[in-house]
Amino acid sequence: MKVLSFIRSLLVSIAGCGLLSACAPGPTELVVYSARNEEHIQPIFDRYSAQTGQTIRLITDDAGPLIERLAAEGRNSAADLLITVDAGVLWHAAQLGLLQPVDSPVLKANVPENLRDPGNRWFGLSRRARTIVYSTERVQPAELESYESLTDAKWKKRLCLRTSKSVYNQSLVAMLIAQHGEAQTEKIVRGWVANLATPVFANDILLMQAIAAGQCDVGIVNTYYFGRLQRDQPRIPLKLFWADQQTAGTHVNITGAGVTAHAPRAEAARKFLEWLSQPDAQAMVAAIDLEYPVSSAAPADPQVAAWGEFKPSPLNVASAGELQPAAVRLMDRAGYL
Amino acid sequence: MTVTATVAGSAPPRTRRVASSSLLCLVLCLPALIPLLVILTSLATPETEVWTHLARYVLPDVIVNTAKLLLGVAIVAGVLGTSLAWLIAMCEFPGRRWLDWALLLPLSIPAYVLAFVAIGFLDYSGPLQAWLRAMFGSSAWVPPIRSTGGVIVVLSLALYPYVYLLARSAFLSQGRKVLEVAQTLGYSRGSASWRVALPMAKPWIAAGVALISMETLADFGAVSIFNYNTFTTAIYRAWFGMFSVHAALELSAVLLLFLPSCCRSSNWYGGRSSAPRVTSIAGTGRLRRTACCWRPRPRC
Repeated sequence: MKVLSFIRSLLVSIAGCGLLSACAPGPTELVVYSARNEEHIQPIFDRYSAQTGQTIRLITDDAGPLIERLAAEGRNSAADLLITVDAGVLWHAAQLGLLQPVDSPVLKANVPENLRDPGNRWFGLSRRARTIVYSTERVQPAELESYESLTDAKWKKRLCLRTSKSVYNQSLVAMLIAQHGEAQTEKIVRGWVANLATPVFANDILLMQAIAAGQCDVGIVNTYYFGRLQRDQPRIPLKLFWADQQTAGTHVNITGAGVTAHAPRAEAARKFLEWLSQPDAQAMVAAIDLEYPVSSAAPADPQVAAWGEFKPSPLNVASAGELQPAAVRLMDRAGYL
Repeated sequence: MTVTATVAGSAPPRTRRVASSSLLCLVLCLPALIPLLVILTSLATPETEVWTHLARYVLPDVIVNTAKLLLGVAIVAGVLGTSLAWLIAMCEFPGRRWLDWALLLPLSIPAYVLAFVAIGFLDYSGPLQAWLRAMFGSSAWVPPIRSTGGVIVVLSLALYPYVYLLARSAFLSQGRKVLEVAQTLGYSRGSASWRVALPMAKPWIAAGVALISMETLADFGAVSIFNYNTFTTAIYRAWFGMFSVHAALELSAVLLLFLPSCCRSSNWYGGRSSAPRVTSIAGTGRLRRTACCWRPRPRC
């Protein structure tokens, strides 16, 4: 009897799941799979809905599971648009054939060539730089120069890094491989590891707090993490230094989006992407998490603008994806945990 | 041939019942077994290139780290859970009643939250070390929290309730009478606990430790915050860093090999004879032990 009642309750819950999945999106509702947090994206959706009447359904998860889900759903997927952070992830989704090319003069005009897929399957929506942060109490900016210069012996036991598991570090090393080749990049990474003051950190905020507390003097972080910390603690004795200004330019990464391969509402998705690339929306997209707009016509948030102008790396961010597996292996070899 | 047919034809009803219940069991377990089968089938088509890299640069560290963590957490959480259970079940002291349920609360806090709090409070930039530096200068030394020891302590604090819960039930169900009987038979109170109550609770403690070990193997959040590389972090890295789901599956298959060893050790430990040795006592000792039986609940 117990077994029977268990089976009955199992069947009831299965039927419940079936009912839930019947709540399919309406024929015109745009379905967005997003690896960005809801708080960073919902206000933008709300504005678009208010302006155009287009309703949007948001499904958030980590990038990996979203990509696997898209692949598993195939032609039956309800998703129209995939939004993620990190160019490597977008490159990977495009490689798997999960995104379709969008031929749009508006997107081409608004998104610089190096911040979109050469095959037009994904487009950058906002930019973030990964650069050097230093203690204003113990470091002079004149002592700093490039990512490579952090391998110098004068930084012995003064460098803090985030884990190599962070996709941002994987992308940074991938871009270094694109610039310097594998052998030289491995030397750089080994140099960093030799200069570490303490085991690598799980995130950028802990890293910056360690610099502020005096555990180390320099580190490498994403600009918006610095912005968040600065917003919470305006007096924190840290500053950003733009790396590689005399050479290739500072490493940038993107938040970006692409129309899914089997999007039921591909046309509506394209329109939304175009709207996101317009200066108006760009200012909002960038300011919401202290990033830089991709469109040069849009202004940066005043707090972000105060960090100064910098020369970004002109390399196409797609290389970050292409070279990411090589970067991960290189970091494994170099003992960068 | 005839003999075989006869035996098969006259299978006792009990055997048939066993067969049908194992079939039912298999059907019910199927949803859980499917992912495991998918993982195991990945071994049939090895991705040699990534695997060679992993075997050379990643696996040695990961295996040693996982083993250290497993052993450390099993010992620390096992000892902590058992001793707390013994104190709560066997002793009377102020606060015992609320500690009885409060000691279960860590189960409701995810291990990664505890890890985050521990690092935030105890790391170099945390308030404790900042205060110590302010008081004693930069020479103040605190053991680093972001270390193997740190991750073992945090996971043990998060997981000990599994052992605590089971051992507490074991001690309570034995009752104090067992201890008192042992005392009448010549054991001191300490040795009665050690030689009688503890061996009798062993199967429960071993089951708790087995649960803890499996939770430890599966933990991803806490080890990520400590940046302590184990199988789970290596699986994640293979999947998201190298875009190789296949290599991630292969690593998962190796991780699965750890699981039977968790269960086996619990069987071995729990299944050993737990009968205490009985020694005879004579003279005044006998009277003393008998008096113990009438003594009120011991206080520790």
